[in-house]
Amino acid sequence: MNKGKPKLNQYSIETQKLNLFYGKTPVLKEVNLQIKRGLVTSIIGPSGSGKTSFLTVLNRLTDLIPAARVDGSVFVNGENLFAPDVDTIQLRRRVGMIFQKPVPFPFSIQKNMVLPLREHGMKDRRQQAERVETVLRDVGLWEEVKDRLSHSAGLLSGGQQQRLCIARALALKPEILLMDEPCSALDPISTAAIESLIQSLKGRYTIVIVTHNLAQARRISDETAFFWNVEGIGQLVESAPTEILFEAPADPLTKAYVHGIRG
Amino acid sequence: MLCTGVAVGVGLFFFWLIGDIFLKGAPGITWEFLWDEPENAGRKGGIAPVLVSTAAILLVTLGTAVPIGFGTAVFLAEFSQGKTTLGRMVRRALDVLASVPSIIFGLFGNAVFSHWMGLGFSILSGGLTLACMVLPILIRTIEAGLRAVPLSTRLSAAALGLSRVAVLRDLIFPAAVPSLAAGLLLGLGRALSETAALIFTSGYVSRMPESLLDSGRSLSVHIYDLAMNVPGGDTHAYASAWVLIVLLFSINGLTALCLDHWGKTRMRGL
Ligand SMILES: Nc1ncnc2c1ncn2[C@@H]1O[C@H](COP(=O)(O)OP(=O)(O)O)[C@@H](O)[C@H]1O
Ligand SMILES: [Mg+2]
Repeated sequence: MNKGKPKLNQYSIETQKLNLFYGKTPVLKEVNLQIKRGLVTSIIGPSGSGKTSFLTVLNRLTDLIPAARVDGSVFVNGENLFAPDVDTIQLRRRVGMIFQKPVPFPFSIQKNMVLPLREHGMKDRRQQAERVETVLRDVGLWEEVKDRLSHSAGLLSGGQQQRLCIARALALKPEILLMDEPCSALDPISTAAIESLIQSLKGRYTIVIVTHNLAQARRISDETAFFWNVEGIGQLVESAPTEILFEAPADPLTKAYVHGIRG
Repeated sequence: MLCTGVAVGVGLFFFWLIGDIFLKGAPGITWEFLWDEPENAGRKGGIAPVLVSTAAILLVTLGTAVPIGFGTAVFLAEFSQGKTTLGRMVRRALDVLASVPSIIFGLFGNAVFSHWMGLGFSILSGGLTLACMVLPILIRTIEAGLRAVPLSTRLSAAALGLSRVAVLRDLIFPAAVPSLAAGLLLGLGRALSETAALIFTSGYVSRMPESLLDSGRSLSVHIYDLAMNVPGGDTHAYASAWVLIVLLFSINGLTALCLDHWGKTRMRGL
């Protein structure tokens, strides 16, 4: 028996009737969303509509929040995310996450990069160094930091810190990258750098990016999902190819939101 | 105005007290005093065995309190999410214990370590009793340090698939080192100046101890004995108090230095 796993399909992530509660408070209600492999999917919607919470379900960070309770089903690459035999450590290697505020660890750039690699079994120094250089080049940080890898990561600028965090996640060769408003704390130049980074990652990774910036969603994403708060509970109103969602949305709520009438 | 007056008053009082001890104690401080055995109940001779006993008692205290304290703090901060009954019970118990007078610890240590465990009046009994006494402060301070690691750091670490062990070892323990040092300072200070708890456990034999199972007189017990029970012991009581205060100051200064150093490294860190 292969435990009734659905066949690998075009979806990296699929949620079915996903509900999330913090304690007794419902935060997400009946979210059914399919995220296509290799594409960039953006999630838009007002503050408090459960976008961040939705991302944290997808790599089971909700396990760390004592009051969080999930029901419904989530499939990552066709596998049930909440099956009892899921190894969350492996899962989180495959599903990387970037937070709104960059969180470099309080030690050197080098150690920030190497610690996760070592933890995931890459012990060889040369291999580590190669991987670190590759991903730091991918995020456009290599030239800026190659001479000061031993310096503290806390000394980097906000934009550099965020790119370091992205590199740190990419170094683990994830299949899916969840990004929670990665540019919201950054200046326009850093934002542009991260946007073009996302463009260059397209195809190799499945990217889910939460953004408040509608123009950004239009620029970088293939698909867009719109979350809205219904009586304090986050719901998915509509998801569609980005062009369609912005030009010809099916739901009047979406139309109002993308035209800046509400929210 | 009044507050300033009170503050100045407190400051003056502190300098008067320290000044008094330093002035009266200083003449008694010689190499012989630090190097020799006490004679004539401490009126003559020195305090070498007392220093050795004190050090041995503190070592026993640290040797037991640090690992137990660290372990308990990690349990409280990391493995009992604030709501488990066990966690709550332990925390409540510690808060009560922290305010129990030392004489009670002395009686407890005497009953449990000296008699029940058969360790008698010994450095070991005294050290273990002091360990019980300083544990509450130590645990609560370390726990606070562990808890100070922000949730965002923990979430980022988990999102990279770091194991619990790696998170503890590389992110949480290093962050707790300054609070461990602060807890140690508080604990050591309390242990070093403790008299009541030791009279019943490590006793007051002033010979040079030969093992941890020998009775040994700590510095504070020595001062107490000279001041209260030995007519004409004043000079040496003051000299011993001088040594005690210098020790306390050095521990204080050393810890401040360490905290400063770590503080700076962590600031550079983030
Ligand atoms: N750890 C938590 N515990 C309790 N409530 C939370 C927690 N995190 C978020 N919430 C609540 O859940 C709702 C959705 O929040 P969030 O997912 O952060 O929305 P968004 O990212 O769309 O702004 C908000 O009402 C927020 O207050
Ligand atoms: Mg959010």
